[in-house]
Amino acid sequence: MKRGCMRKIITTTWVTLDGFIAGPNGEMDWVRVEEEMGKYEDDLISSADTLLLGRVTYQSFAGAWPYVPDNPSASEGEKIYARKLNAMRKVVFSRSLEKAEWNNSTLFREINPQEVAQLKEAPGKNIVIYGSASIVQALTNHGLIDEYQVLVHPVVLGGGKPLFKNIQDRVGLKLVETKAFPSGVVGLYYRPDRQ
Amino acid sequence: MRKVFLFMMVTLDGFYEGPDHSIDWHNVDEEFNDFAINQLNDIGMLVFGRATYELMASFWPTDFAREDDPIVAEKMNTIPKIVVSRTLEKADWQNTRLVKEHVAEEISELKQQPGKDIAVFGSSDLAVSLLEMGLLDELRIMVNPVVLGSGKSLFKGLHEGLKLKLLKTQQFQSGNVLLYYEPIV
Repeated sequence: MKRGCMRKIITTTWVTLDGFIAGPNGEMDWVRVEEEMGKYEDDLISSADTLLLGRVTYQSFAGAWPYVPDNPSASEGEKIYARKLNAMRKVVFSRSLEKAEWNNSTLFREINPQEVAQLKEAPGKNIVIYGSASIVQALTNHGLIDEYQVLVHPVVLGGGKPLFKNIQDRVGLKLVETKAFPSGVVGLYYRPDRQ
Repeated sequence: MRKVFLFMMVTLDGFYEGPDHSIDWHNVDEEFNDFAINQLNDIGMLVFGRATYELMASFWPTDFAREDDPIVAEKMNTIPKIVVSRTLEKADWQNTRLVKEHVAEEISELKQQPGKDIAVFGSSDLAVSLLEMGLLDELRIMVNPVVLGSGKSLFKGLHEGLKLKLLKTQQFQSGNVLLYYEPIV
Protein backbone atom coordinates (compact mmCIF):
# COMPACT_ATOMS: atom_id res chain seq x y z
CA MET A 1 0.00 0.00 0.00
CA LYS A 2 1.42 3.36 -1.01
CA ARG A 3 2.52 5.56 1.90
CA GLY A 4 0.30 8.39 0.80
CA CYS A 5 -2.80 6.21 1.06
CA MET A 6 -2.29 5.04 4.63
CA ARG A 7 -5.13 5.72 6.99
CA LYS A 8 -4.66 8.67 9.28
CA ILE A 9 -5.60 8.95 12.91
CA ILE A 10 -7.11 12.39 13.33
CA THR A 11 -8.05 13.80 16.71
CA THR A 12 -10.77 16.42 17.00
CA THR A 13 -11.07 18.25 20.28
CA TRP A 14 -12.93 21.24 21.64
CA VAL A 15 -10.62 23.23 23.90
CA THR A 16 -10.62 26.56 25.70
CA LEU A 17 -7.95 29.14 24.89
CA ASP A 18 -6.10 28.01 28.02
CA GLY A 19 -5.98 24.41 26.79
CA PHE A 20 -8.79 22.75 28.79
CA ILE A 21 -11.32 20.25 27.51
CA ALA A 22 -13.59 20.75 30.51
CA GLY A 23 -13.85 22.83 33.65
CA PRO A 24 -12.59 21.58 37.01
CA ASN A 25 -15.90 19.76 37.60
CA GLY A 26 -16.25 18.56 34.03
CA GLU A 27 -18.20 21.64 32.90
CA MET A 28 -18.62 21.88 29.15
CA ASP A 29 -21.26 24.60 29.00
CA TRP A 30 -18.76 26.81 27.16
CA VAL A 31 -18.81 24.61 24.03
CA ARG A 32 -20.36 26.25 20.96
CA VAL A 33 -21.70 24.03 18.20
CA GLU A 34 -23.22 26.15 15.47
CA GLU A 35 -24.22 25.46 11.89
CA GLU A 36 -20.76 25.96 10.43
CA MET A 37 -19.45 23.46 12.94
CA GLY A 38 -21.97 20.93 11.59
CA LYS A 39 -20.31 21.15 8.18
CA TYR A 40 -16.92 20.64 9.78
CA GLU A 41 -18.17 17.50 11.53
CA ASP A 42 -19.74 16.15 8.33
CA ASP A 43 -16.56 16.65 6.32
CA LEU A 44 -14.48 15.05 9.04
CA ILE A 45 -16.48 11.85 9.35
CA SER A 46 -16.99 11.61 5.59
CA SER A 47 -13.24 11.08 5.35
CA ALA A 48 -13.39 8.35 8.02
CA ASP A 49 -14.88 4.93 8.69
CA THR A 50 -13.73 4.29 12.24
CA LEU A 51 -13.97 6.06 15.59
CA LEU A 52 -11.49 5.46 18.39
CA LEU A 53 -12.87 6.49 21.76
CA GLY A 54 -12.21 6.43 25.48
CA ARG A 55 -14.93 5.32 27.87
CA VAL A 56 -16.31 8.73 28.84
CA THR A 57 -16.73 10.00 25.29
CA TYR A 58 -17.99 6.60 24.16
CA GLN A 59 -20.69 6.46 26.81
CA SER A 60 -21.72 10.04 26.14
CA PHE A 61 -22.03 9.40 22.39
CA ALA A 62 -23.63 5.96 22.82
CA GLY A 63 -26.23 7.48 25.11
CA ALA A 64 -27.23 10.14 22.58
CA TRP A 65 -26.53 9.47 18.89
CA PRO A 66 -28.56 6.25 18.52
CA TYR A 67 -31.72 8.23 19.41
CA VAL A 68 -31.21 11.19 17.11
CA PRO A 69 -32.50 9.73 13.82
CA ASP A 70 -35.91 9.15 15.45
CA ASN A 71 -36.01 12.45 17.28
CA PRO A 72 -38.55 14.80 15.64
CA SER A 73 -36.80 17.90 16.93
CA ALA A 74 -33.43 16.93 15.46
CA SER A 75 -32.44 18.74 12.25
CA GLU A 76 -32.03 16.83 8.99
CA GLY A 77 -28.29 17.48 9.13
CA GLU A 78 -28.06 16.04 12.63
CA LYS A 79 -30.01 12.94 11.58
CA ILE A 80 -27.74 12.32 8.60
CA TYR A 81 -24.66 12.76 10.77
CA ALA A 82 -26.14 10.51 13.47
CA ARG A 83 -26.87 7.72 10.98
CA LYS A 84 -23.26 7.86 9.75
CA LEU A 85 -21.91 7.81 13.28
CA ASN A 86 -24.19 4.94 14.30
CA ALA A 87 -23.07 2.88 11.30
CA MET A 88 -19.33 3.52 11.62
CA ARG A 89 -17.01 1.07 13.27
CA LYS A 90 -16.25 2.05 16.87
CA VAL A 91 -13.23 0.98 18.86
CA VAL A 92 -13.48 1.79 22.55
CA PHE A 93 -10.63 1.41 25.03
CA SER A 94 -11.72 0.79 28.61
CA ARG A 95 -10.83 -1.40 31.55
CA SER A 96 -14.05 -0.68 33.40
CA LEU A 97 -16.76 -0.60 30.72
CA GLU A 98 -18.79 -3.81 31.00
CA LYS A 99 -20.02 -4.03 27.43
CA ALA A 100 -19.81 -1.82 24.36
CA GLU A 101 -23.43 -1.75 23.27
CA TRP A 102 -23.47 0.93 20.60
CA ASN A 103 -23.88 -0.54 17.11
CA ASN A 104 -20.68 -1.84 15.49
CA SER A 105 -18.46 -1.43 18.57
CA THR A 106 -15.43 -3.39 19.69
CA LEU A 107 -14.15 -3.15 23.25
CA PHE A 108 -10.46 -3.34 24.04
CA ARG A 109 -9.26 -3.49 27.63
CA GLU A 110 -6.02 -1.65 26.93
CA ILE A 111 -4.23 0.35 24.30
CA ASN A 112 -1.77 -1.85 22.47
CA PRO A 113 0.34 0.39 20.21
CA GLN A 114 1.12 -2.48 17.81
CA GLU A 115 -2.58 -3.18 17.35
CA VAL A 116 -3.28 0.49 16.74
CA ALA A 117 -0.41 0.65 14.23
CA GLN A 118 -1.83 -2.41 12.47
CA LEU A 119 -5.23 -0.74 12.35
CA LYS A 120 -3.62 2.19 10.52
CA GLU A 121 -1.90 -0.09 8.04
CA ALA A 122 -5.07 -2.00 7.19
CA PRO A 123 -7.04 -0.68 4.21
CA GLY A 124 -9.73 1.82 5.04
CA LYS A 125 -10.59 5.46 5.49
CA ASN A 126 -9.39 7.70 8.26
CA ILE A 127 -9.78 6.98 11.96
CA VAL A 128 -11.22 9.80 14.06
CA ILE A 129 -10.80 10.33 17.80
CA TYR A 130 -13.46 12.55 19.36
CA GLY A 131 -12.57 13.97 22.78
CA SER A 132 -11.07 11.01 24.64
CA ALA A 133 -8.16 12.94 26.14
CA SER A 134 -6.65 9.87 27.79
CA ILE A 135 -6.53 8.08 24.43
CA VAL A 136 -5.06 11.16 22.74
CA GLN A 137 -2.39 11.33 25.43
CA ALA A 138 -1.48 7.65 25.17
CA LEU A 139 -1.34 7.64 21.37
CA THR A 140 0.64 10.91 21.38
CA ASN A 141 3.23 9.23 23.57
CA HIS A 142 3.36 6.31 21.11
CA GLY A 143 3.70 8.69 18.16
CA LEU A 144 0.58 7.28 16.50
CA ILE A 145 -1.46 10.43 15.89
CA ASP A 146 -1.26 11.86 12.38
CA GLU A 147 -3.25 15.04 12.81
CA TYR A 148 -4.55 17.11 15.69
CA GLN A 149 -7.58 19.25 14.92
CA VAL A 150 -7.94 21.55 17.88
CA LEU A 151 -11.06 23.71 17.98
CA VAL A 152 -10.12 26.65 20.16
CA HIS A 153 -13.17 28.23 21.74
CA PRO A 154 -13.28 31.94 22.57
CA VAL A 155 -13.26 31.35 26.29
CA VAL A 156 -10.78 31.18 29.18
CA LEU A 157 -11.64 29.01 32.19
CA GLY A 158 -8.64 29.59 34.46
CA GLY A 159 -8.49 25.92 35.40
CA GLY A 160 -9.86 22.54 34.38
CA LYS A 161 -8.99 19.24 32.71
CA PRO A 162 -6.14 19.65 30.22
CA LEU A 163 -6.16 18.00 26.81
CA PHE A 164 -2.48 17.20 26.99
CA LYS A 165 -1.53 15.63 30.31
CA ASN A 166 1.12 12.97 31.06
CA ILE A 167 2.92 13.79 27.84
CA GLN A 168 6.36 12.16 27.93
CA ASP A 169 8.25 14.36 25.53
CA ARG A 170 7.69 17.77 24.06
CA VAL A 171 5.78 17.44 20.76
CA GLY A 172 6.90 19.71 17.92
CA LEU A 173 4.10 20.36 15.44
CA LYS A 174 3.64 21.59 11.89
CA LEU A 175 0.63 23.79 11.27
CA VAL A 176 -1.47 22.34 8.45
CA GLU A 177 -4.38 24.76 8.40
CA THR A 178 -6.30 27.33 10.39
CA LYS A 179 -10.01 27.98 10.10
CA ALA A 180 -11.99 30.72 11.79
CA PHE A 181 -15.66 29.86 12.37
CA PRO A 182 -18.36 32.57 12.58
CA SER A 183 -18.93 31.62 16.22
CA GLY A 184 -15.40 32.75 17.14
CA VAL A 185 -14.08 29.21 17.38
CA VAL A 186 -10.72 28.81 15.62
CA GLY A 187 -9.73 25.46 14.17
CA LEU A 188 -5.98 24.84 14.41
CA TYR A 189 -4.90 21.70 12.56
CA TYR A 190 -1.43 20.28 13.12
CA ARG A 191 0.60 17.23 12.29
CA PRO A 192 3.49 16.08 14.47
CA ASP A 193 6.86 17.31 13.25
CA ARG A 194 8.63 13.96 13.07
CA GLN A 195 12.25 14.87 12.49
CA MET B 1 -8.76 56.57 24.10
CA ARG B 2 -5.64 54.45 24.20
CA LYS B 3 -6.09 50.73 24.15
CA VAL B 4 -4.41 48.32 26.59
CA PHE B 5 -3.59 45.02 24.92
CA LEU B 6 -1.84 41.89 26.10
CA PHE B 7 0.67 40.09 23.90
CA MET B 8 1.55 36.57 24.93
CA MET B 9 3.39 33.59 23.41
CA VAL B 10 1.74 30.29 24.36
CA THR B 11 2.02 26.62 23.47
CA LEU B 12 -0.88 24.67 21.99
CA ASP B 13 -1.51 23.29 25.48
CA GLY B 14 -1.97 26.81 26.80
CA PHE B 15 1.33 27.31 28.64
CA TYR B 16 3.26 30.55 28.57
CA GLU B 17 6.21 28.97 30.32
CA GLY B 18 7.52 25.42 30.50
CA PRO B 19 8.88 23.74 33.63
CA ASP B 20 11.78 25.74 35.14
CA HIS B 21 10.52 28.92 33.45
CA SER B 22 11.68 27.59 30.08
CA ILE B 23 10.82 29.66 27.02
CA ASP B 24 13.26 27.92 24.68
CA TRP B 25 10.24 26.67 22.73
CA HIS B 26 9.45 30.19 21.48
CA ASN B 27 9.16 29.84 17.72
CA VAL B 28 10.79 32.97 16.32
CA ASP B 29 12.17 33.81 12.89
CA GLU B 30 12.68 36.78 10.56
CA GLU B 31 8.94 37.14 10.04
CA PHE B 32 8.37 37.18 13.80
CA ASN B 33 11.02 39.84 14.17
CA ASP B 34 9.34 42.03 11.57
CA PHE B 35 6.08 41.50 13.39
CA ALA B 36 7.71 42.49 16.70
CA ILE B 37 9.14 45.67 15.19
CA ASN B 38 5.80 46.67 13.69
CA GLN B 39 4.03 45.95 16.95
CA LEU B 40 6.53 48.03 18.91
CA ASN B 41 6.13 50.91 16.46
CA ASP B 42 2.50 51.19 17.54
CA ILE B 43 3.19 51.01 21.28
CA GLY B 44 3.53 54.06 23.50
CA MET B 45 4.06 52.24 26.78
CA LEU B 46 4.99 48.75 27.96
CA VAL B 47 3.67 47.21 31.17
CA PHE B 48 5.20 44.20 32.92
CA GLY B 49 4.72 42.10 36.00
CA ARG B 50 7.84 41.40 38.03
CA ALA B 51 8.92 38.07 36.52
CA THR B 52 8.66 39.20 32.89
CA TYR B 53 10.26 42.52 33.78
CA GLU B 54 13.29 40.80 35.29
CA LEU B 55 13.66 38.61 32.21
CA MET B 56 13.43 41.55 29.80
CA ALA B 57 15.53 43.93 31.88
CA SER B 58 18.35 41.42 32.11
CA PHE B 59 18.35 40.82 28.36
CA TRP B 60 17.55 43.86 26.23
CA PRO B 61 20.21 46.23 27.62
CA THR B 62 23.00 43.67 26.97
CA ASP B 63 25.56 43.97 24.17
CA PHE B 64 24.40 40.62 22.84
CA ALA B 65 20.83 41.86 22.40
CA ARG B 66 21.94 45.12 20.82
CA GLU B 67 24.12 43.28 18.30
CA ASP B 68 21.75 40.41 17.64
CA ASP B 69 18.60 42.48 17.29
CA PRO B 70 19.48 46.19 17.23
CA ILE B 71 16.09 47.55 16.14
CA VAL B 72 14.03 45.63 18.69
CA ALA B 73 16.62 46.27 21.41
CA GLU B 74 16.56 50.01 20.76
CA LYS B 75 12.78 50.11 20.97
CA MET B 76 12.54 47.87 24.04
CA ASN B 77 15.14 49.93 25.86
CA THR B 78 13.76 53.36 25.00
CA ILE B 79 9.97 52.89 25.09
CA PRO B 80 8.46 54.14 28.39
CA LYS B 81 7.87 51.19 30.68
CA ILE B 82 6.01 50.38 33.88
CA VAL B 83 6.65 47.42 36.10
CA VAL B 84 3.90 46.51 38.55
CA SER B 85 5.25 44.89 41.69
CA ARG B 86 4.86 45.07 45.44
CA THR B 87 8.11 43.24 46.09
CA LEU B 88 10.58 44.89 43.71
CA GLU B 89 12.70 47.50 45.47
CA LYS B 90 13.59 49.48 42.40
CA ALA B 91 13.38 49.33 38.60
CA ASP B 92 16.69 50.13 36.95
CA TRP B 93 15.91 49.47 33.32
CA GLN B 94 16.07 52.59 31.13
CA ASN B 95 12.87 54.66 31.10
CA THR B 96 11.06 52.43 33.61
CA ARG B 97 8.77 53.40 36.45
CA LEU B 98 7.92 51.11 39.36
CA VAL B 99 4.26 50.99 40.36
CA LYS B 100 3.69 49.37 43.75
CA GLU B 101 0.03 50.09 44.32
CA HIS B 102 -3.13 51.69 42.90
CA VAL B 103 -2.54 49.86 39.62
CA ALA B 104 -6.12 50.33 38.44
CA GLU B 105 -5.92 54.09 38.88
CA GLU B 106 -2.53 54.28 37.18
CA ILE B 107 -3.64 52.29 34.15
CA SER B 108 -6.98 54.12 33.88
CA GLU B 109 -5.20 57.45 33.97
CA LEU B 110 -2.68 56.36 31.34
CA LYS B 111 -5.52 55.29 29.09
CA GLN B 112 -7.05 58.75 29.28
CA GLN B 113 -3.81 60.41 28.20
CA PRO B 114 -3.08 60.90 24.51
CA GLY B 115 -0.59 58.53 22.96
CA LYS B 116 -0.09 55.19 21.27
CA ASP B 117 -1.49 52.00 22.73
CA ILE B 118 -0.31 50.43 25.96
CA ALA B 119 0.96 46.87 25.77
CA VAL B 120 1.36 44.23 28.45
CA PHE B 121 3.94 41.66 27.40
CA GLY B 122 3.84 38.21 29.00
CA SER B 123 2.99 38.83 32.64
CA SER B 124 0.17 36.32 33.00
CA ASP B 125 -0.45 37.05 36.71
CA LEU B 126 -0.67 40.78 36.10
CA ALA B 127 -2.89 40.11 33.08
CA VAL B 128 -5.29 38.15 35.29
CA SER B 129 -5.59 41.15 37.65
CA LEU B 130 -6.08 43.54 34.77
CA LEU B 131 -8.68 41.28 33.18
CA GLU B 132 -10.60 41.02 36.44
CA MET B 133 -10.51 44.81 36.79
CA GLY B 134 -11.79 45.20 33.24
CA LEU B 135 -8.65 47.03 32.16
CA LEU B 136 -7.55 44.84 29.25
CA ASP B 137 -9.15 45.85 25.96
CA GLU B 138 -7.57 43.25 23.73
CA LEU B 139 -5.72 39.94 23.93
CA ARG B 140 -3.19 38.95 21.28
CA ILE B 141 -2.30 35.35 21.90
CA MET B 142 0.34 33.80 19.66
CA VAL B 143 -0.07 30.01 19.65
CA ASN B 144 3.24 28.24 18.95
CA PRO B 145 3.18 24.83 17.24
CA VAL B 146 4.36 22.83 20.23
CA VAL B 147 2.92 20.77 23.09
CA LEU B 148 5.01 20.92 26.27
CA GLY B 149 2.91 18.71 28.54
CA SER B 150 3.48 20.87 31.62
CA GLY B 151 4.22 24.42 32.58
CA LYS B 152 2.44 27.55 33.73
CA SER B 153 -1.05 27.87 32.39
CA LEU B 154 -2.22 31.06 30.68
CA PHE B 155 -4.45 33.11 33.00
CA LYS B 156 -4.19 30.57 35.78
CA GLY B 157 -5.94 31.91 38.82
CA LEU B 158 -8.70 33.66 36.93
CA HIS B 159 -11.66 33.48 39.32
CA GLU B 160 -14.41 33.23 36.78
CA GLY B 161 -14.53 31.94 33.25
CA LEU B 162 -14.11 34.68 30.69
CA LYS B 163 -15.90 34.85 27.34
CA LEU B 164 -14.05 36.39 24.41
CA LYS B 165 -14.92 37.83 21.05
CA LEU B 166 -12.61 36.74 18.23
CA LEU B 167 -11.49 39.78 16.25
CA LYS B 168 -9.13 38.18 13.76
CA THR B 169 -6.48 35.54 13.20
CA GLN B 170 -3.06 35.80 11.58
CA GLN B 171 -1.05 32.83 10.35
CA PHE B 172 2.76 32.91 10.20
CA GLN B 173 5.19 30.86 8.07
CA SER B 174 6.70 29.44 11.24
CA GLY B 175 3.39 27.78 12.12
CA ASN B 176 2.57 30.35 14.79
CA VAL B 177 -1.00 31.60 14.80
CA LEU B 178 -1.86 34.95 16.33
CA LEU B 179 -5.35 35.13 17.78
CA TYR B 180 -6.84 38.55 18.50
CA TYR B 181 -9.66 38.72 21.06
CA GLU B 182 -11.68 41.25 22.95
CA PRO B 183 -12.75 40.25 26.49
CA ILE B 184 -16.54 40.29 26.81
CA VAL B 185 -17.40 42.07 30.02
